[in-house]
Amino acid sequence: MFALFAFLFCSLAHAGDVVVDMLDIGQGDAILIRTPAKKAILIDAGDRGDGVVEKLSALGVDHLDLVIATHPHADHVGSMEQVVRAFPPKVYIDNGLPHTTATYTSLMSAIEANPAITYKSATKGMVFNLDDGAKLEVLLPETPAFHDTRSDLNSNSVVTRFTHGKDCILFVGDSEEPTERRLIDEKVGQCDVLKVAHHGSKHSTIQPFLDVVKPKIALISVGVANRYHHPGEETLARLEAAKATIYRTDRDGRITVISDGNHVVVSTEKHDGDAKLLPVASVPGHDAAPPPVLPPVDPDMAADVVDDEACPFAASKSSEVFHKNGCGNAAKINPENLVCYATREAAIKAGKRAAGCCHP
Amino acid sequence: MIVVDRIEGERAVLSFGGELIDVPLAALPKELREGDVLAVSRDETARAGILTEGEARLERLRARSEKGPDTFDL
Repeated sequence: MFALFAFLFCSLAHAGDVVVDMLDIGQGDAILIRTPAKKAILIDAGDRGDGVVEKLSALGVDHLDLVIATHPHADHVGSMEQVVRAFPPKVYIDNGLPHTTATYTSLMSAIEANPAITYKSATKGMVFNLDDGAKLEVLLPETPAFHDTRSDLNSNSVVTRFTHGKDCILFVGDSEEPTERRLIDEKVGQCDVLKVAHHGSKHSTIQPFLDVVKPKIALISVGVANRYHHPGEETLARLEAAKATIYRTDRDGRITVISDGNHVVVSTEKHDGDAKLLPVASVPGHDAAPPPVLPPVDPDMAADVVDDEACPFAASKSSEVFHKNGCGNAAKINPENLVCYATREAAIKAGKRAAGCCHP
Repeated sequence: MIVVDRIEGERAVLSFGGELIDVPLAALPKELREGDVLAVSRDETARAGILTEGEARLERLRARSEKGPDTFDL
């Protein structure tokens, strides 16, 4: 199944794409962002025992440049200590509010024990420049912090806005109503993709916030049949009324959003538990290229279509990208459209760009 | 009301309302027996102490990181 999904991922992601994965870790959050220049950012790290390190490794992660802990609840930092030990990040930021749990205390001791990790308390105005023009901006928290709310740790979640060209994803942690009202006051503006707050809790994702953000895609990280009854029916109704396409990790498995700077494309790992790959959905309303059409998945076809030695690098006449022979995508090239290049340089000189998956 | 339903090895199974949770025995009073009724109270002194330690750690971490603009090129 993983190989199949990896193949699908290859067929969707291209050089220049930023790939955002909402991991399927049950009741919690863990979101991975990867850039064309192989920068890796993790937002939250699920609960203890969620296998976050293993899931990151399975995705090919071997380092983290930035880790963001939106707030110190265990469903967001439960596996964070294991993450920072396995992949010590260059920069670690959180909302600057301590918690009293052993999970939090042990995590922060681990960070303090590693002098190579730069720690920052997130504040509005921080900007993390990625590559290909992409960036992450910290929108909240700001001073003074929220006090005496339903949950001060939630309300003071680190809120970040990812932008890449025209694409926008809003990561709001477990924000609560006061957080969302503050974002409205501060002109957060429209954003196509919303990481829904607090696993879809009814206490968040208020109507005025949706009226401003107008998300076309809503991502909910939530455990199957969780005891908290997330996501709330009221929240789902508000999102549906806003005409947002809802993706949920409890139903869809890992959710992947690919941004090329002009469009975002969403794919999911499974649907309704039958491990079937969902058709790819483009973002409604984008003046976009048509969504990719999934070809029959048969990587072995490559050997039949293209000979390795005669055609080390292959492209289609109708495509801008080229592939390394043996890559499953080479198999999909119609022999009538096949163009071969002896070297990588020759393909680039011919105006092709490297495919994002097989790294030719 | 929280009642000790039973003790399983190093863990106590606690019952309150219709819910059961199990908790390490080490976190509970010594000589705990099944059927015991537990009183739970807030310990503001302990909370304040842990938060003070946490704030101090965050201050040390902030101090060791370079000051400068809030823009980072990763």
